[in-house]
Amino acid sequence: MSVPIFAELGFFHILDAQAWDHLLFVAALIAPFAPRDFKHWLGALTAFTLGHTLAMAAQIAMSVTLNERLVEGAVLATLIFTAARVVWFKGAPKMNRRGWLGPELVVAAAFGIIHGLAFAKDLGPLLPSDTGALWAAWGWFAGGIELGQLSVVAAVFVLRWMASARGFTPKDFALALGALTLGISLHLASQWYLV
Amino acid sequence: MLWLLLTLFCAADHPMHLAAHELTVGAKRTEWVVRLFTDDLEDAISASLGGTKVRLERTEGRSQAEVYVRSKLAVHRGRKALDLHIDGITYKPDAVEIQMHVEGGLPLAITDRLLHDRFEDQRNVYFVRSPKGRIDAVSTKENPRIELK
Repeated sequence: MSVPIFAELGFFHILDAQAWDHLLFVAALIAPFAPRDFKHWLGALTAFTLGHTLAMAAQIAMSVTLNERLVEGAVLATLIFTAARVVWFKGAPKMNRRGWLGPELVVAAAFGIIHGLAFAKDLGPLLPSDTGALWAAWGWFAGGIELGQLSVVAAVFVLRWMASARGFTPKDFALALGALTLGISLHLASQWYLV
Repeated sequence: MLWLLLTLFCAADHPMHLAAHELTVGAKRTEWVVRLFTDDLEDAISASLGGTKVRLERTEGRSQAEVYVRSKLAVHRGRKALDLHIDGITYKPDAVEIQMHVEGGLPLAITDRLLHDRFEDQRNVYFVRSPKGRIDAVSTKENPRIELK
């Protein structure tokens, strides 16, 4: 079957050893949260997923030609903002008084839309014209992305647990991950600017 | 030093090594469209020509693309090799669409080495619509042969 291959493409699109932007974004998004805060990290991740899945579908359906450089720059801006926010709040999760993320969800969804446009830009030109095959490929690709994201989440939580076992506080871990992500994202932005 | 390492290992570009074939099988003729990333195809043709720069928006580049596609795609029905008719090439900056056809319908045996010379992880996916229904298949470098029945 060729259509499920799009799931593999989606999965490795996130875990791409040669391109770290989506991977780092997911890591920075969940960095402040512990696994037990699942309503927060799952909420943010779901909002991000909804954003990118629907944006990808809309972009594929409308078939609008996007400026590649602009989309890549916007993705990097989301990465810098999210990582900088983790650093700014010193690794602490920022929630409202009821303990819900509130505006964070809107930001995650909005950033998801930007990442969705990037996914569509990469995949769109090669999608089949046959409607059934097109949407099947989109569905598998989106599913693969979701699995890739969950793998990143699992890896971050394992690292968090390892850091905790060595005496680092959750805030230290989140701050270190945020700072690392910010550094790499600024480097990526400098490469983007120079090219 | 750190900057150098980051430059070597980090990027925001996602190379997806994929080509998509769409075949519509009729009783007398099979219509065939293949879409390839423009830069991938230009690089592959350029490498096959010993590094000569290829631009697919130019007529000469599209002629070179035809030669490249014919050299990488072989179609058989049983033991008989079929002629691959290239009807046109549509250039877009991100992807190139090549319209082709072969005489007759199924069965077809396709040996597809498009871009496999360029990328180890190149996958060429097939979406086939035939009177019997839909068929999906994938050609990889290790297994470039597709049997459509």
